[in-house]
Amino acid sequence: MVFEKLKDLIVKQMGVDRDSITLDSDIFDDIGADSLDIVEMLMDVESQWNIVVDDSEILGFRTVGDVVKLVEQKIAK
Amino acid sequence: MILFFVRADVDSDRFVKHCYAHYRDIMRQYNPNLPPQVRILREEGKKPRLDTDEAYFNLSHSHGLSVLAISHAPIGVDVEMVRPIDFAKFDFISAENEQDFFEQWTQRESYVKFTGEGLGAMRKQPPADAHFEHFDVFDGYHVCVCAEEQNVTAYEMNAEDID
Repeated sequence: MVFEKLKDLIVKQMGVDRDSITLDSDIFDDIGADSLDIVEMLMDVESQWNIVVDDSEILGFRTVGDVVKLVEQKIAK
Repeated sequence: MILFFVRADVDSDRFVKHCYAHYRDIMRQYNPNLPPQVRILREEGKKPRLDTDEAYFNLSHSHGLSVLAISHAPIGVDVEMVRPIDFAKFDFISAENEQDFFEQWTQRESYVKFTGEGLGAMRKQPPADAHFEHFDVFDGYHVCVCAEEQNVTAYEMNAEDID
């Protein structure tokens, strides 16, 4: 399940409480990620699911749900 | 340019308005056109800005430190908490050591904040004529500002005054 694995990655990177992460969690404001955290997590996402995330695809990313949606779209192909 | 620091996560809009009032107090003698009140405009695909051409702002946060830059001209700012990092995996940046990595990272990030392009443009090298100022602040944070050459002053604000 993409959301569950993504929560693992977020907890590993940010050390936040796993139960506090929801699909609506804002990556910057709720999770507290800075730009470096975001890019590191994206690199982990890419290797976790063996996908490539284009630079243009992360424009407008705000929530955990945005990331889940993108990963699900890519692995469906 | 004035850099405002606060060692807290504060509401962005309140932080900008609070600091703008200070900026105006200080800068009015040089620019009497600075409006007494400002609003923050947020448009899809563009970086947030003030509803005036007399001042520009940019905001950055990293792990408990927030930085706001206000200037008469467009600016980009990035702050990063310096922490252990496997910088080799960032293949688009070749760094000799951690300090070098954070300098390069904040430089690129401040440039994409300046242009408003967003994180997606981090892989590109900023142009050679872009101007940057680097600072190490508060024991463990690195800040870079991208803007035309100008004086920089910095203030630390109290979170209680803002929220």
